[in-house]
Amino acid sequence: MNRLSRRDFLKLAAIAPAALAFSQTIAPSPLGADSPNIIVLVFDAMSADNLSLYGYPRNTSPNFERLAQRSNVFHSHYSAGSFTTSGTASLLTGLYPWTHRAISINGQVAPAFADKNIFALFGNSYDRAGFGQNFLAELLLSEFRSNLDVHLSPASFSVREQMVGSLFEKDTPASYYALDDFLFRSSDSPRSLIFGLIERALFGFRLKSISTVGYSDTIPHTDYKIYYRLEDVFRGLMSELNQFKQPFLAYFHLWSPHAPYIPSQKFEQLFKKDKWNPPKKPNHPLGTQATFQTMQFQRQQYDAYVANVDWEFGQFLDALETSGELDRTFLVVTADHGEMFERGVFGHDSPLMYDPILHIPLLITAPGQKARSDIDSQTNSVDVLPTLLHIAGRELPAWAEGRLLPTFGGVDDNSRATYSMDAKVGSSFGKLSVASLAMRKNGYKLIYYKGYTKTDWFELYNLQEDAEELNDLYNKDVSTSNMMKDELLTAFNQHNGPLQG
Amino acid sequence: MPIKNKLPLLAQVYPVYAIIVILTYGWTIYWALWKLPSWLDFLPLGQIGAIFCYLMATNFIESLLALFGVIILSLILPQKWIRDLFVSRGSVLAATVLVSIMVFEYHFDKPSDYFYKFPLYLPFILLLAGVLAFLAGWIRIIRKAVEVFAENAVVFLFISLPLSLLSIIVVIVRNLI
Repeated sequence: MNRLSRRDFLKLAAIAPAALAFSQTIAPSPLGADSPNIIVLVFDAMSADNLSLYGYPRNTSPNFERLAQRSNVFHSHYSAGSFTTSGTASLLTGLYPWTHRAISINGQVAPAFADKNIFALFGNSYDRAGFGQNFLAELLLSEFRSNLDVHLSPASFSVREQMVGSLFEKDTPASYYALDDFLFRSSDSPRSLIFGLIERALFGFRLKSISTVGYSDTIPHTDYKIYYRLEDVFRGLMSELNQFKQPFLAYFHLWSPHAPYIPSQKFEQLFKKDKWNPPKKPNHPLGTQATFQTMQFQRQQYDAYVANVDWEFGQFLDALETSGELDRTFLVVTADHGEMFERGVFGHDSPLMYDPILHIPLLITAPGQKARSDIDSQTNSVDVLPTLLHIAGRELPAWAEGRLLPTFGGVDDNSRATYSMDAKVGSSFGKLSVASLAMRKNGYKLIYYKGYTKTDWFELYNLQEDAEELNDLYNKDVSTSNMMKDELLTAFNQHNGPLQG
Repeated sequence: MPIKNKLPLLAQVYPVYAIIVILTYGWTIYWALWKLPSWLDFLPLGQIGAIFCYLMATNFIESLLALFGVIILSLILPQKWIRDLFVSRGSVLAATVLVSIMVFEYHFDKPSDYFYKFPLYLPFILLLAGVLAFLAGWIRIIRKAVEVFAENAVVFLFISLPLSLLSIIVVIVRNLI
């Protein structure tokens, strides 16, 4: 072995401080050899506002907190969309909804941007896997199917499922749209007169034999006839991970803790008797006007379910640690959007743009990371794609609307404007006349409700002083309102035209 | 009696099939028209066309299934009961059962309802269908009215059959490529 000469030692000593300084940011990996594995784990409808990790009074996320001890924890991370389609599409393309145009329920990314997805950008030197347990996420993965090496069915790891469209796997998503979302859609009458009757009776028969051991009534399930146990899903994912070729990019989009909230018996009573009450907030005119009691009940169920999901996630985390996977893998834990239980709304099927719907968790653990790092600057789900490309040593595309996240080559910058949007009722192809938008900048949030009533209206909140968004400053802080309004409208109008191919 | 003699003539089958087509395709198309504005908001026309191909192909198969059901009844039951009055009795039988299913499906959507409740309704549906079919053959004016309506409905087959066959080809091709 060569010994260090005195000259070499002095050279090393000179560059040591610089090396230490740069060790705080994650350098991009060289292309090819030794590229890190990446797991993106998305929990559907998981609001950061309901996680004890982010200061929620109920102890809903001890295992997230455990992971946080060795992660980069983003405290002010927001989804670009308020429901699965738009939020997931932004995560996977690095584009805001006004650009990728997956804005309708069941929508897909506009054809012009379909090849600008994370799987395509990683290229085939990575083994790329996608699992969307939520049908809406699966529609997007189907759209990106040619860029996936492993495309897991949404029904994978389920106890019972009856996804008819999967029988025509070469023609998803058309078969999904026609069969699972229309002819045999479970939440409506069957649209196929005879087969619908047979299909539903058969499913009723098959549901009868599901074991509900550990649950009071039924086991967790999605809107699309997929019944599953959380432990099976995590175990299945772990088993899949062991089969991927290295390096891999695995995108796992779980349905839980999306409604219906079905915690196991072990968790369902967890918060039933606590005395905690959230602050009361006035009902919003665009809300569904649910009563406070209803929202409280739903919140308690949701929190118990989140705690249940967190516990199962803890088991998954243990398995990752034991297998040594965490020593060679970037683990990204996030959500597609949040969930709210206030202002007359429970769930997320709402045009409202308050924090519970948009504020989502983001934790990124680098391989072998041992220390916690807290990042307070505002970030957005569109930032995840550029960051992962950077981590994998890929070039950042010029069209990406997100930035590198702080710690991963990016800088703290609260003066940048980030956006969230909901336009479920609009057309993906034309000008949006009805939409709600939120812009965050310098600790403020401006909300713009466009086209819902005769006159558009704005709300402005100072999130640093008024985290509960109770004090609307729009008519009180006129200069900030005008400045942010101009910027938001300029950005929106730039993108709100007929879709360019 | 040879089975051949108990089978209805092709000219008798078309009108009954036309009634079945109106009801099975009509039910799906009715709901699809409600859904169409939403599809137009986010799906390209080609994709919507592909969806309609799946709908037509499904409707085609289930309409044949319903037709076979009526034909099998004609084979099982005495010739005088159905075969001789196939157009009127077959049409009324098929229509009664299909409309009853529509009513059920309109009101229920839980899988457990279909598994537990529908078998309870089924005897009533069959009884009603039997009574109406009997009346349709027995009362001349009703028989004539049903026959005229069913025979005029055959015109829909000129639209549904080519469209369905084309749809099946499209579905097959899309799943082969």
